[in-house]
Amino acid sequence: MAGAAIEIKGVEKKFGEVAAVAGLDLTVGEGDFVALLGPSGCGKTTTLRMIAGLEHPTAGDILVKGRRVNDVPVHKRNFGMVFQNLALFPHKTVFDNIAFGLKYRNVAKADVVRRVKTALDVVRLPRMEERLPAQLSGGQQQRVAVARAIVIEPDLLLFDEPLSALDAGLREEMRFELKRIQRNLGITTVFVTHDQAEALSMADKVVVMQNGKMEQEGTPDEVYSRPTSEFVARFFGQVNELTGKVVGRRDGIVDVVLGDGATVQVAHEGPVGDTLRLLLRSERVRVGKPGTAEPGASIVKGVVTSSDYLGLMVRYVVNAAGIELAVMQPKLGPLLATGEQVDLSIQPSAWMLLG
Amino acid sequence: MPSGPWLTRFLKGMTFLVYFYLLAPVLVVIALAFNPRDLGDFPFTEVSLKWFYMLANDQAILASVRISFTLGLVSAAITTTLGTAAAYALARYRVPGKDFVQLVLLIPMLVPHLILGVGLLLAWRLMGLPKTFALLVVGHVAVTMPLVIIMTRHRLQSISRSYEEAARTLGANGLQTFAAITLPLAAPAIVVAFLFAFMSSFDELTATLFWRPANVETVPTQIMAMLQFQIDHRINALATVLICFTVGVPVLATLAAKGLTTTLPKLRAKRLAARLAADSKSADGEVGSLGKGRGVV
Repeated sequence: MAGAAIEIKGVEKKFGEVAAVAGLDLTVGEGDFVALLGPSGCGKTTTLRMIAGLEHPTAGDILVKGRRVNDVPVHKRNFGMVFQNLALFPHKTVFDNIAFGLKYRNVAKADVVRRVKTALDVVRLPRMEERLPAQLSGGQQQRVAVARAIVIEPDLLLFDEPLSALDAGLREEMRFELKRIQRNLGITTVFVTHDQAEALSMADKVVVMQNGKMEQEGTPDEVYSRPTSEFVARFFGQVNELTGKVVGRRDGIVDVVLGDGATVQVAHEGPVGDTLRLLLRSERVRVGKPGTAEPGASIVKGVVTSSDYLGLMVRYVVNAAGIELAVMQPKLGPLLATGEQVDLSIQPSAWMLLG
Repeated sequence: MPSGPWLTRFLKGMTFLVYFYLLAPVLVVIALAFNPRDLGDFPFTEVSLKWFYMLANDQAILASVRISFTLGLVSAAITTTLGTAAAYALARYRVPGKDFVQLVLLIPMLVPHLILGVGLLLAWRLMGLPKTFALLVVGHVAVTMPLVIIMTRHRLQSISRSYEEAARTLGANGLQTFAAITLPLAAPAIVVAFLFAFMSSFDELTATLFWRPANVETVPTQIMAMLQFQIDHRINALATVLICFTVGVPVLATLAAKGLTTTLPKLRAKRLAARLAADSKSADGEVGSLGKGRGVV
């Protein structure tokens, strides 16, 4: 593949008997922002550390720009890494932290000053050179860590859950900032996170991992809207799982009978008589008083069994056609009461099918 | 936990008594050092520096002080270097038989110095080596090693590995990383370990009695010799000097350690700020050039 910045071929990493990464193949294009996403223990951090050279694969090859780097020591790889705890050197000033990598690259003194200043401008943190890390706020420390990683003009940027230590508001701001910096510099970036919102909002490509293997890779919309496994579907929020039987078909739409008799339209090609495993995200269902259904949607009658007011959203559980369905939607009009008769409306394209 | 004014008063009283019990002998020694009377009667009627003058003119005592200092500095330097290296290995690497190695390294602390003294002396004789100053150094290194390893290892373990990893990703090799990151971060513990090693070497008596070559006296063996047949009041003066020294050095060391970790970087920062202010005019025009050639936006 032309322009591949990183190629991971059959990489495996065992710690004793335990395989942290069990046969991973992955290609990252030049300039891409790839998120490795998964629950803790899925092997995403180990993968990142192997790319960085901090761990050594027990099998397989890692190629960067077509060159095998398995045996290249960490300090000769020229990758900028931002660590989970940031790892700013506590005994060095902001300037010395950022200039650290330049010290080993024979950069002239005047250039060091200029490049440190430039890096601080890129992360929008000018005039902080003389502070010690302990004198900075969490967000500022974050920016220094990024500046330290980019000042060496690395071939790759590696992020190991760098935002997990920040509080919610700052985390969203830094998401945007990191994305902006990465776009401006155009450096190929691998970002490890367990936070699906982080992965979806920042990455060009999301790689969902589980048990040391890749579950699915694709654009944020692909992994969110067209999951290939129940694990991936469930990783991005609440899903309802149903089975149904195809009873009729016409141009791209099939009629499916659910549990005890309700019929819905599903966007799908397939023969009549098939049994389908259907997944439905809770936010792709609309619930309302009878007669408020959206046009083009299938309607299923039901009764509200519980409601949780969450502020931004309301979560309802509706008993429809003998099945409990979770529904997540903004509060539209008055809150629906428990026991109320409601219509569920579901667009044919809302359903996700597992093979 | 029970509480009340009486209990609090009782505890305060007990605390005072414990301190008194610990410190009273020290105070008595200091006080007597200034009493010029031979019998050391109390309360004394005169104050003088007589014993200090005599001390300063006693060649045997001065020689022992010189020996103790040399021995303490040499053995502390060796112990701190080797001990820090061992502690680094124990803290950072998967050494085969690590638990066993660790136990062996700590043995000198658990075994009575009497046995250490005899043991090393016998081993030295078996190897046919002469009883020289080297034996004293080797012995004192062994005695002070556990202390240094415990202190530096604890500190090294508390230094997050990610600092070293960050330095490595930025282009520093193993040795450069150790010099630029690990060593400065562990420096306070290493300085304190050096001082403890020096102090315990300075204080060591039992094993030293077996190891010292003929006619070599350290301060403790010299004091022992002086006390063998009579009470010598110069010892009070010597003790006073040693107390000032043992209290003074750790205080200075603590200040030095603080300086290493906070004051120095701050001073450096100030100098840097001045330099940057001077440079800022020339650099401002070039802001944003980092992304040149790669820019998307």
